[in-house]
Amino acid sequence: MAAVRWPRSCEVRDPPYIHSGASSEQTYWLFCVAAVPVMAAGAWVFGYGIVAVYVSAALGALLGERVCRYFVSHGSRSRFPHAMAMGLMLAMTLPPTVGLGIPLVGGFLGIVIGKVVLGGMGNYLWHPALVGWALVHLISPGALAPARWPFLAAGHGLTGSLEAVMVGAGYRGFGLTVPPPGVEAWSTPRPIDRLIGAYSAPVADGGADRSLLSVFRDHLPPWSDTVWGVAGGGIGETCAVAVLVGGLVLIFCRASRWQLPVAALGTVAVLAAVWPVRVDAGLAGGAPGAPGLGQAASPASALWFPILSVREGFPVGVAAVLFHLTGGGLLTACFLIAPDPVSTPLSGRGHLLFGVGLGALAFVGRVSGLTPGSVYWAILAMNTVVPVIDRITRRRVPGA
Amino acid sequence: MFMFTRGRSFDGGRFLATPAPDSAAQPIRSIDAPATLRVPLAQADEPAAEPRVVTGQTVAANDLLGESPGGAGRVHSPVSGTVSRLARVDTPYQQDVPAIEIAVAGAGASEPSPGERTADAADWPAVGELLDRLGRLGVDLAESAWLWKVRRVDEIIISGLDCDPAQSAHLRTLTSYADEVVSTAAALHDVFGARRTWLVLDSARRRLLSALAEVARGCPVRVHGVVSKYPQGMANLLVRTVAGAEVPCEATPAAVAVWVTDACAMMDVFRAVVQEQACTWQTVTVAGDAVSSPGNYRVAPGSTIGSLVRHAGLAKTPRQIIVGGVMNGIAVPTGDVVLTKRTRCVTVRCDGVRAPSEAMACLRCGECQDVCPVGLDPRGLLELAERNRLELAVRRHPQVCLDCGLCDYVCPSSLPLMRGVRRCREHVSVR
Ligand code: SF4
Ligand code: SF4
Repeated sequence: MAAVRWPRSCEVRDPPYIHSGASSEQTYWLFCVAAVPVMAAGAWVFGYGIVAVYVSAALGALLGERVCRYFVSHGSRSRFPHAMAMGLMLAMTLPPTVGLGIPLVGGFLGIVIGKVVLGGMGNYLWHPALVGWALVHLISPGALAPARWPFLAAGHGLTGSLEAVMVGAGYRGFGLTVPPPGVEAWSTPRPIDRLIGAYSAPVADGGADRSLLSVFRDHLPPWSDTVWGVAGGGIGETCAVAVLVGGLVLIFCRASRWQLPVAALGTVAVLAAVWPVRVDAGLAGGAPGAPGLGQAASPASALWFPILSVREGFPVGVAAVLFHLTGGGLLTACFLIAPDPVSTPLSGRGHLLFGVGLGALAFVGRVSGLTPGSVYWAILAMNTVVPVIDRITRRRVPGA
Repeated sequence: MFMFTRGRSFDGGRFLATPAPDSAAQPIRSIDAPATLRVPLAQADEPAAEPRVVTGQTVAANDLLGESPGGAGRVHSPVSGTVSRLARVDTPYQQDVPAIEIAVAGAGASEPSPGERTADAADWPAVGELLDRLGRLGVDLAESAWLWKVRRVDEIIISGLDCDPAQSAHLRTLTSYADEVVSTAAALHDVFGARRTWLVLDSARRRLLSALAEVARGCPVRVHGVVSKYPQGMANLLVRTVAGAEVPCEATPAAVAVWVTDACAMMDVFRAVVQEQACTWQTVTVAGDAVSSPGNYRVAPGSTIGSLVRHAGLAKTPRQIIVGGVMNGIAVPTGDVVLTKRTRCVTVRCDGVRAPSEAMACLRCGECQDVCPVGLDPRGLLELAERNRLELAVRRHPQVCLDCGLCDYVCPSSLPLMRGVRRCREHVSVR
């Protein structure tokens, strides 16, 4: 064996000499990977054409990154994965009818304004994808919140056309309603928009009664439709299964923390369980815990603890909580969008606080009917208080 | 309160993969001293001792070579030979340190073998005389000045944990010298009148734990397994997990009347008190993928890293020499650097040496804050250092940093966090 020689001089530098191998570009690539199941589910529910929405949002973001490269101080390796992840996150929130211009502009503005102008990589306060979303919202209010959201009918998944749409009269659920000849898609409000009707004053909608039971009986598809994603909503919002898969990938690979989604979903569930719903006179009294409540007032009064309601053998309260969790953009927001590390708190406890605040704001925004997409505004609002959360959740130095 | 926190681990830290091949598997090997030793007169970063020998003088093993003016910091000769000159050497901790060069008498001089005396036969002197004798024989115990002053400690924690994942000197010492370590610990327990004396080791080493518990049966030493999460071996963290006390900021374990020492130091005490040998030869772990037989070796201070590694064999061309381990050791440029009594581990690496990645913008992932064993926010401190707002660092207690290196290790943006924390620390300490 040839003698091994000592080199003249060995490498000298500061410790540590090993590294965990974690890298920031890897973190954002993971966010992109986590978007894949959502994209696939979206392609099936809304037609493969929606992939173009993702691509155009990502292109817009990459373009923004390219334009700003001279202003972004460092982080060259994570620049493009970050922009791409932001573009994909933005696309998830968009309705399937959005066209390609809006995602392109949204992605571009999200990076240029949200990331570079408002602080730069690592320092921005607000989630860039949602800054892009909010700006698009201001530019073209109707585009992001249509009254009706189309999705493909049974038997037309992936390749059907959202143009051959039937506005949802008589729609009872994906597996329950057979589309008439020539119809390839249904168009309905999002389940959550239907549900929150029960929280606000009566709305004339063909004279329909909007108490909880009637909402479920007459207006909502089965809950399982929202789990599989065959319901109206943003292209990355409807399929709870795909969102969960993506979210668990992120958590498992330590790109995000479990505290945020758990706290946010838990808060929404608790609030949905106790927040009063409007009950029409005559239908009230379903809650065993509150007999007679609502009976006195007419025509409508509040029913606290709706979770306890059982009407005609149907646990409407539980169903309401479940629809709150999966019927809108909440899951996507909590698992895939909000966990961007830069705009969330540093510690796990901070993420808990952030999640609780996010859930509460999103729920209150929802039931007060302020604006569709309240969960995204809630994320932006919570982003604003992240420095405060960081300060109050700083770890104690033992012995100090 | 003591009972509730005992047995738990500290917040933060990381489980690091143990490097293969495991250097603890081999018995401690004794090797011959090289033909020339240059024994440094400073062991770490303290001022050097003054020589007490002259050129041409003949010295025997255990003879005094130098001492500090106060009579502390004594340096003894590990071998017999002739003082050929007063040289200057580089140690890992200090450059250009005065040293005594000894031409070793006879080829292949190895560690002098002690008499057959065992601890049971020894009469352990009272505290004052014991500390006196240890000082005279060059055993510098951690916090010995404090021990001199109080002469009594509440708890003694003897660590068998090797702080760095590459090192196994303490573990191997416990394995090979269980009787000696336990009996020395028991004697010190009595001498110092301690309330509790702990012998701490990795709870995953079940066989060694039960063997030690067997040895320690009927004596006051409690054998205690702790989860070996890096950097559990550091003194302040041992105090936290084992004694359940918190060392105040900017203080040593002495502040809570705990004396933290380790298995190798127990052997130094044993050799000094029972076998009347000066503290010279040390157990040093040689690890790393560039050596062909990693393990623990008995090394004379004053040998070069190169002469030690020659015994362990080079399998590959070294690209990095680290005195200490991969997390917070000191990288040295050549194998000519001389080992001191403080050196416990030499890591020689070839593969896996990589240039540090380009630092990127902080991701605010919070990993550094999570992993810091003392609850610092390295990211925030680096930011203060970079913005020159060091005066704000005071309230964040950067002085408690243990230099463990974990924040740099986990940071996905490869930021120089340790350096930032150190700058804050320096600012706070000059204040
Ligand atoms: S700040 Fe100091 S103690 Fe904390 S992880 Fe970094 S090196 Fe370790
Ligand atoms: S580990 Fe690095 S990237 Fe993460 S918060 Fe700390 S400094 Fe920032």
